[in-house]
Amino acid sequence: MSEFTLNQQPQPWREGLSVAALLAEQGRAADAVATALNGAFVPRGRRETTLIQPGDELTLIQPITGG
Amino acid sequence: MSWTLYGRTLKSRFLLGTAGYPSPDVLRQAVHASGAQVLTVGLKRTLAAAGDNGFVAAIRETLTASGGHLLPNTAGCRTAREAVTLAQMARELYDTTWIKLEVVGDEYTLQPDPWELVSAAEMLVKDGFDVFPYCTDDLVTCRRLLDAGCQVLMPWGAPIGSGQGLLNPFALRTLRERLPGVPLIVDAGIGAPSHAAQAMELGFDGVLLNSAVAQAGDPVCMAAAFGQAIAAGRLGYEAGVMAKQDMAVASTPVGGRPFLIS
Repeated sequence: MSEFTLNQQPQPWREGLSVAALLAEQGRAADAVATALNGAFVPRGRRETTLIQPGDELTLIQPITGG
Repeated sequence: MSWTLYGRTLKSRFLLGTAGYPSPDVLRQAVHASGAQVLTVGLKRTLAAAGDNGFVAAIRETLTASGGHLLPNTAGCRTAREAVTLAQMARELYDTTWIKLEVVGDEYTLQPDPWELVSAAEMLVKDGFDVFPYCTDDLVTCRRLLDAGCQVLMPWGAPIGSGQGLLNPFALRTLRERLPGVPLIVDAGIGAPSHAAQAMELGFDGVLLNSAVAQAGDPVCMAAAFGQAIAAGRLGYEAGVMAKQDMAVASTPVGGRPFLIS
């Protein structure tokens, strides 16, 4: 079975899965995270049209405290 | 006393980090006590929609009340490419073009990598960011960062979180003298209010710190102490510190000896 990684965790891949659809499946609000695919930023406006491919590395980032 | 960072006028010269506080309420109170108008924040990878125990909400509420500014960082990045991607994500999440650029080149000291830092700064400035580079006190690196389009520099006082104060006052004084007019902020290594006052007396424009307040026995009281030290140091610099002399110079004017007792 083909896979991709979500924050370094293997996930089953399926054809046509977009970044936006994945976030919805994960129950993540669109404005609660920022996304990057294979190390490149994916803006909110491009999540619908950005399809995840086998072997891709998807990164979700959320705000935290910092120095 | 006001100053300007990327077109935004600030009254306070204290920039405060938001990590490591005992609770969101202590953080909120510390920010209030500090008078800081710029708060640094971070980003992390997340698998689950887990909360952060209300810290980010506390920061946003406090900033809304004070009219301050968020300064997201790129902590944890080791390459320019990583830092640029994280900065772009920060801009979307925090809705600001301000970015504290951190690109670490050594795990032991967390010393910035000057080559990756300059490279990232060039890319980010071209992409419309207002870059606050966390850098060493090396004059030539600082000049390269200015060449890249940075309008502010944030040299370290000592390694992050070490609390050692200003390890190389000579280098910091040199930066101040060689880069007149450039907003300079000492970032990292400050442990005590006296360290912050020293930086301000050198002519630095601001101080950014986190651990010294968050790890204090009473973070709220320490935030207030730093706020006063930074303001006092700035006043002292503006007033003009007297020149040092090797030998004593009597401060009381006397004409000869008051008594001649033999």
